[in-house]
Amino acid sequence: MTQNNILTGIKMPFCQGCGHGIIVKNLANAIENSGYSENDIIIVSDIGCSGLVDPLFNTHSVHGLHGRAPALGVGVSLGLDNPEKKVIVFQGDGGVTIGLQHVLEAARRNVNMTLVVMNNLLYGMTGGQISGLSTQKFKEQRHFELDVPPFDIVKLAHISGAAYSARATSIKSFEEILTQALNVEGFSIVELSSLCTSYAYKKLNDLLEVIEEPEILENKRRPLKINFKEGVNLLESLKPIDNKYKNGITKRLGIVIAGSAGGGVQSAATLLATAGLRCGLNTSMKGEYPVTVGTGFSIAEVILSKEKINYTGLENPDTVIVVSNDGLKLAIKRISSTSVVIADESLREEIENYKISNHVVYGDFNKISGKKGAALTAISFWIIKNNNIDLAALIETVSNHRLSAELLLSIENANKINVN
Amino acid sequence: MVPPYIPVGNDKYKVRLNSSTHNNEGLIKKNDPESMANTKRLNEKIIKHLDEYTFFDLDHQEYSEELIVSYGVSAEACKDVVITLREENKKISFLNIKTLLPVAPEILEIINNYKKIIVVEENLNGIYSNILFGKNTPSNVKQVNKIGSLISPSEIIKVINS
Repeated sequence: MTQNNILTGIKMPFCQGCGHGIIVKNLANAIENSGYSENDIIIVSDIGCSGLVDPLFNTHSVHGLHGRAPALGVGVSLGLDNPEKKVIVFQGDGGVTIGLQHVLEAARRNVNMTLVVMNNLLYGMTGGQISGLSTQKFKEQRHFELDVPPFDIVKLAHISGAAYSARATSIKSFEEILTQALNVEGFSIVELSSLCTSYAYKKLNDLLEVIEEPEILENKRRPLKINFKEGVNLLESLKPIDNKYKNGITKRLGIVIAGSAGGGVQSAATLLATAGLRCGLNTSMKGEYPVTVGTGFSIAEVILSKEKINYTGLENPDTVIVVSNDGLKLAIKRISSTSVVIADESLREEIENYKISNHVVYGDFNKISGKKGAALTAISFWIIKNNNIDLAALIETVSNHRLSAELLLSIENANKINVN
Repeated sequence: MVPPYIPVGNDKYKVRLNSSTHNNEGLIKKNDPESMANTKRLNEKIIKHLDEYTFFDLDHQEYSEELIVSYGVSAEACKDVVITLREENKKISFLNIKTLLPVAPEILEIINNYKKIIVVEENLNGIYSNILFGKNTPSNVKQVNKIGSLISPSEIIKVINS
């Protein structure tokens, strides 16, 4: 092997007999074979013996945290977006184990870069501990983690979508395999066996007995291409909410709306808050529901205020709207001594059992608008009764909604509610 | 404060980026004099320019001896507390800290101007209060801490009035 311009020519920093230097030299040749010059190459590495490579290369270099080199490589590659440049990431088997998700992500997105895995079967820099890529035969000799299978990084990268995944075990084949990898459009990964003379074997033949077979796997895929747009302002696509409607608010109002999952509670509360904005008010809306979104309670808080809203919590709601039993169980704890309660007629008996002293207004919200429309009908009913905001603001808010017909019907239904 | 970077991968100059301790060439080094000097230089730079990135809002009320200190979402409840207490003719000031760390001397100077401090933060043990005052909390410092839901204005007022 001859010295080329890709390498700085400084002495290899590796232990005597270490295989990493052989890989570095073969990669330098492969880079030259592929026609790249020094400024076309970005070497990305992280912590470990593999991370000692950057002074060796007379190229750009990026050095990151242990296991994260592939993630950095993805960023550099996508940022450059230049097929004339080549991002080459170095990792050891330890780094791959630590940052496996980054490798798989780069593979499934088929990011244009080459990952060189120098597999010496162990964490060399910290004393020879077993890694996720330590082979089964090697672990048998160490009597360690025999019932824990190793990762096959070549197959994992392949099934994740890498354009080119290869394992080479013969030093003679390194340059050719690396040259192939560098010429792939998309994500290429090459796992190369490397001798750790400090913690594994002194002789290459001993290493060859415990490593996996060579392999080349390919996916015919196009590399990831991102269309960067300069100066795009995400706010530009948003339409401002006009505030042409009037409000009749004299003090800050807090409204709790409680119902069941799937009952449109959150969207009804959002519509109320947006209608409040259309009436020139400051508004806030917060929702709470179980992790299993589609079942159990759904509760929302809306604040309507002429003044700026700082604290968005609601200690003493002015109005509590309850449209289902699921909601009542939570809402009952939120009712303060001054709250007005608007509840579905079906909840009358249960609410009376709680023996609250609040003024409760019952209406047939579920009967008239169904489970999905009850919350919005109850909110509309509250608006009609109190005139705190203009109902026309709510109607305009739903008019652009994809379910506008259903929502408008729920609002109109509020006129049919007989107060009991 | 941060000069424009020459892009990695440019055609003219080689660029080296390094997240570890490094020498002047951008190469990882453990503790040689050059890399140690570089690390010390970066630390001095952080300290020297502290005032350029220390942000806070001080709502000082004349003659007030009590200061609420808070940050993040809890600061919103504190703003309402200040409105409520002033309506009750109580003298109260409020320091909303935006740059928590490193603690700028300016922050400590402000705090030292008040006789009573109430640190409001949404965590279990008062992490920032401990940073400001240590574990041996001075008697003029009260903490309002909570997890699970927002700290409410009434919970803060209760501690202030206790």
